Amino acid sequence: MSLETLFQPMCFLTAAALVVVGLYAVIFMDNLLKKIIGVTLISDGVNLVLITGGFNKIVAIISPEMYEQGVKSTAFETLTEFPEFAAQAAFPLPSALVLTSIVISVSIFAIMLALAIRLYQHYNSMSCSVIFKEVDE
Amino acid sequence: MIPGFMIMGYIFMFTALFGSILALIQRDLMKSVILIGLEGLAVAFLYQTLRAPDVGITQAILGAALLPGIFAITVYKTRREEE
Amino acid sequence: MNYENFFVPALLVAFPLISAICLNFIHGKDRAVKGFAFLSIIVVLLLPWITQYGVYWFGGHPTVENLEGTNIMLSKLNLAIVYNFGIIQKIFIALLALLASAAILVHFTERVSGVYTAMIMLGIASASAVIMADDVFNIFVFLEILTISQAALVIAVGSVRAYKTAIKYLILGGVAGSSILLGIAILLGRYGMLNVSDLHKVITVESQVGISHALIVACALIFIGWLFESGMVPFHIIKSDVYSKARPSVGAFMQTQTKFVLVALWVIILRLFYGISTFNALILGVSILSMVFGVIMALRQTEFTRLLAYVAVAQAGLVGVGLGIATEASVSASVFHAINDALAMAILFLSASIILQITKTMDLHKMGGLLWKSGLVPLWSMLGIFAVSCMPPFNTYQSEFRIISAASQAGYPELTVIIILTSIATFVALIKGFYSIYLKEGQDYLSAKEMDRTPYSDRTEYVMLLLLAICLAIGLFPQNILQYIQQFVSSIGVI
Repeated sequence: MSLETLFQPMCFLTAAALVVVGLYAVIFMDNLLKKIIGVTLISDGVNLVLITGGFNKIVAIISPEMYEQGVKSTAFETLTEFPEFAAQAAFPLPSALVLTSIVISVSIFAIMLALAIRLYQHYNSMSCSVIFKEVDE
Repeated sequence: MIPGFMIMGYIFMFTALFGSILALIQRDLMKSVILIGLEGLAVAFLYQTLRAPDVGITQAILGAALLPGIFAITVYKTRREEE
Repeated sequence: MNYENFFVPALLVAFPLISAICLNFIHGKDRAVKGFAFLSIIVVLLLPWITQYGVYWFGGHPTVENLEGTNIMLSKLNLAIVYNFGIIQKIFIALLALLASAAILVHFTERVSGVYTAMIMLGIASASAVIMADDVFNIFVFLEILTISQAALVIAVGSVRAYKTAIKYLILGGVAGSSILLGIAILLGRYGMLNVSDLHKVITVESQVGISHALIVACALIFIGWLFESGMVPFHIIKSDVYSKARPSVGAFMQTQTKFVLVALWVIILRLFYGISTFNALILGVSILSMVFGVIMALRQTEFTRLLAYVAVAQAGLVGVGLGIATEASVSASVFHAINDALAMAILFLSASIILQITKTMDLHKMGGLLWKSGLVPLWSMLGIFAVSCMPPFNTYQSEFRIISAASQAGYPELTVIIILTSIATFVALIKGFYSIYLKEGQDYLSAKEMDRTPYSDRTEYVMLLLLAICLAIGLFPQNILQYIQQFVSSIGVI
């Protein structure tokens, strides 16, 4: 249980903690802006889960000796670096998913913040208990 | 195994977590926005440590520059202190 | 599969997206927007009928053989995104296109807004993609786009109440979308693939040994996303808010989207999670609750579009009940009911659009006495109320009768009683609305008018007539569509 093997589980734990903090903010916080910050934290946590799931292990991609050997040899016959690189590289599919997810969430946040400004101009308060008070018509 | 990479990874993890918790406790909303920017930047560095540099660049631009920017515009146009 | 001509299923998603982008660019130039909107309506109505059937691999990638040195337990693997297009998908997408065209055409002679039409096109594209896709991540992306499009259609109304509904919907939609993404992340981490057919095969092989806990967690998370997208308890309030705060003509389109996305997503999560023992019981429980709560809240409403919205939520619950019983007869009856009820509720939403044009309000206390002042619309509304309350000879009678008989055959006779009571309560709520609008004594706004007939849009009435004719036709000859639905249900394979 060295620090090295604990790296990936600790990343998962951080992501889980981000999701929990974000969920707390969405449910319990009174200010509208803090609720929106909570949604940001939830999506950050979920993206981190995706990338951590694709992680392999931390080693140097190329050690200094192999770099010298690769630069100096002109034949490139052995090409031992590349299978070793492929064994250590991260899984590339979650990167595509996370890129799409980040971009979609930014557009949702832009709409939400514009709506928050409009609601403030009408109600003159950012507190959710004032804005969303149920009024019998 | 490069120990520096891993130590930095742990530092970024703790920064992200504590930055997010501190951002929600603040009464001044501008400080809250800056702390969220800091958390986004820490997560961007964490993505680089996890061998996904393309996601790291995207998160750094969007989550640490653009999103705090539009949050700051919102705080400027509404109110700075939470009631 | 080699496609000889140009009309591949991906065009059903690509064309509305392109037309949405173009409409956004030409927003503000009225004549160009009107022309382009008319053109895209014609193409969108035509496209489902000329698209070829079959399975479509994006980029032309075929399936590959097993990769040496890996421990993937399949013999053939889908590497790219896959779209399925069959008869049922064609019916769904054609109905979506019909109701979206109705939503655009109803307001056509006034100023047509480019951004508004673009959002409706975005709604068509995203619902079509969710119906057709066989890839879990593609469904997630288009569900988020669906959330944005529905929120934008609510924002377009412009009142402060609409803004409040939209921001609540966006926050909940963000959380539900993140929940689906987390479920996808767990599935990807456990099995390494995103295609539903491949996941189905792998999960079948693995479940002979035992159900893994990662699968149960992923099921719970994706189930929450399904609850939000289909408007079940506890999200029935926000969904009915969204239907009622948008314009009623587009509310008809939105409730159709929800019912079809409900069915399509259920097929996906059934193929992934059918091995979990309490899965069907969960869906059945949630659907019964949303059916009952929807009707109870519909009886208490004083605003006509909210009443219709809660009735739509209750009917979506009825569709879910049939899906939860999970025998072949009940699932085909449920899919049939989704189609029928989308058509029938659309009639009532369009009549609400006419009433909004006449009286400029939706409050039932303020309306009244419209019986002789709106032409033949009360007659069509009454026929629409009969259609929604599942009376013969309409199509909803056939489908609800089949759900009830499937429920009693599967061993749930209590459900029969609940469904019949729900149907009666729906009828009571709708008749209360009808009385308050047409039969009550006239209120102040109408005594000031001299004309006997107040102006409203004729096009809406023609669309209502068309939908009534389709409902009657399906009701009198249900076997034409039922045989295709039964083929589709038996091709799912796990019921």
